[in-house]
Parts: sequence; structure tokens; C-alpha cells
Amino acid sequence: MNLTCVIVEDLPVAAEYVKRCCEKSGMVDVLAHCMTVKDAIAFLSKNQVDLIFLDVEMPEGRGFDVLDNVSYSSKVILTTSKTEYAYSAFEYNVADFLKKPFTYQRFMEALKKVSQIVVPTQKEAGDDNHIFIKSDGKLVRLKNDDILYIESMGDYVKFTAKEKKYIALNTIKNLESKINTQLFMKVHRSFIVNTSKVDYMDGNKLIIKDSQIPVSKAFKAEVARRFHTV
Amino acid sequence: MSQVSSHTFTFSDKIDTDYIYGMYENDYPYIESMFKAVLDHFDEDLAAIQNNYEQKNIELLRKSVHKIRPSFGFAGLPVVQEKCREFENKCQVAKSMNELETDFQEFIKCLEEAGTIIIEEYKKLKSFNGAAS
Repeated sequence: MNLTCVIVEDLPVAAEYVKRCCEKSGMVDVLAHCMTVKDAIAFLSKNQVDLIFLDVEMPEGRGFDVLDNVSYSSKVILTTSKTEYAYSAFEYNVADFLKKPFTYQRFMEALKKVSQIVVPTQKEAGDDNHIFIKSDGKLVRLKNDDILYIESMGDYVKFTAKEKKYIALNTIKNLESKINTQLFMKVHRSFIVNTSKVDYMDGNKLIIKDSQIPVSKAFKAEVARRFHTV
Repeated sequence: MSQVSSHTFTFSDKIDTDYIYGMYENDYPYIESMFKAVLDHFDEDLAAIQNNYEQKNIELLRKSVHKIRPSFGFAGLPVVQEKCREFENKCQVAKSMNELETDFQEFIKCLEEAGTIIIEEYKKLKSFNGAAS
């Protein structure tokens, strides 16, 4: 399964080049090309992508304005002709930095770096009963049945499993679209729970073993529907 | 991408062929399309530079130079791209347009010459690819 991306770039020839590189790689599907910061914010508010190719200096703003205005979980590769943005890139947890124009080889290096930190989905694994996560430098196979809940930690998530806890570079938002939704459910912007592991619900909290998981107002009705009484 | 060609196209000696092949390999139809993409916006971008200079707006001048800069790289002219970077830096420290006047005349001439080279190469590539197909 390919990664999905959006190209945020005001220079048509540069956007065309990135698009061709994506096609040639066979690893990335380009969902859109946005020529302005405004268009990019609008697109990313409605669509989720794995990867953003982001130009920094644009006519009516900086590419970083896109990241400031979108609750994003995508990985970001900066495509710019200025190296001065390296510090900001670090602040925004950018995966790589491509100085325009770059070679196809350099593009592939960046892409490989990103593809290593994007968690393969269940569909990729070809099996619905487990997921793979990259944690502590290892690719760990986690059975769905072993996962109790998943908690957001900024750019990382913590998987609480029966026997152990795992930290992985990912976000709740990204996982939300990739987990088995028959089993897992988002109950709070920072929590996804394995519904089969919930012991009981107490007010606005779900109890799983010794843990109390908050249920936010936005998800309460859906949670109540899911845990309906007989 | 298109099939790579077994024939060799001879670029002008002004074009950095290592740079070109590093990006596009020897996929000449692709190179032709990229030169066309550069040319599609070249006149407009060049006019913006000229206009911002005439309007004496240094920041917009810098931005318009910044915008056109990678185009030269995509057309195998990294030397011109570097000249753009240098001129951008001059814009950043200049306090008035007068300080840039001499440099600007030389700079804009360089860009115009680069534009002519790109047009010529594009025509040659078009003819080369047309004959090969």
C-alpha cells in the first residue's frame, strides 16, 4: 500500500518534478498539489495524508504556517532552496530537508527515511488481527487482542499492552484511520481503546484493568451507543 | 516516467549535464517537459522581478528572485541559480534600491541570457525527441 501525499509548492516546475519523482518511486500517491498556504490549509483540514512535501517560502506566507494551522499527523519533507530554514525544520519535527533542485537519488533517500517511520497499516500486513509498530528501534508485531489502549504523547503514542508498554513515533490521528475500527475506538482526542478490554464505564471514564481512560464530551454519545446495555 | 533513451542528446556546454542527468537520467522526453514547465512561467517571473525593481520594493524583488531561482536548477543552470542566491543576499542587506542598481543590471542580463539558453535547448530537445519517436 502506497503512502499518500500532498505537494505544497508555488513553483509549477518544482511541483511537477516532485510529482514525477513520486510516480517513479512507486511508493507515493499524490493526492493534491496546493500552490498557496491557504489552499494547503483548506485541503489538509479535510483530508489526511501520510506525507507533505512542503515549500517554505511562498508568496503569501511560509510553509510553516500550514503546519501551524493544521492539526496534522503527517510526516513532512521540506523542499526549499534555502538552507536557513534548517533550525525551524528541527522545531517542526520535519523528517527531511530537500534543497531544490535535488536529484532523484536524494529524493529516494528522504522517502526511505519517511517510510521507515510510518507505521504499516493492518492492510499492509495482510492481517486484521495485529499491527506492526516501530518501537525502540525494532519492528514489533502487536496482536490487537494484547493492546488495552493507545495514548497520545505529542508526536509519539504509547501502546499499553497486557504485558508491556511500547512507545512509537506516531499520532492518534494517524492511527485512527488505520486501526481495526470494529475493535478499537477513539474516546478522547488523546486515547483510543480496545473496546473488548473495557471492564466498565464510570461517568466520563472507561476502566480497563487499573487504568482510567477519559471519555470526552464529543465521543460520549458514540461510546454509550457502543457499550449499550441489554 | 517515459522510457529512457538509448540515443544521446548533446546539450549546450552552458548546461551542466551532470546536474541534468542526476535529476532526470537520460529520459529526454521528460527533460523536454521540464524545460517546457520552466519556460511556461519564465517570462511572467522575469517580468515580476523587473517590475519589483522598478517599483523600488526590495523585499518583493528578493521574493521574486527567490521564486525564479530553482527554475534554473531544473534547467541545468546551477551557476545562474547561485547568482540568484547571491542577489537575494544583496537584497537582504541593501537599504535602498540605489545600492542594487549596478548589480541588478548585470543580474537581469544574466537571467535573460539564461532564458535564451533554455529556449534554445528546449527547441533542440523537442526536435530530438520528435525525430526519435
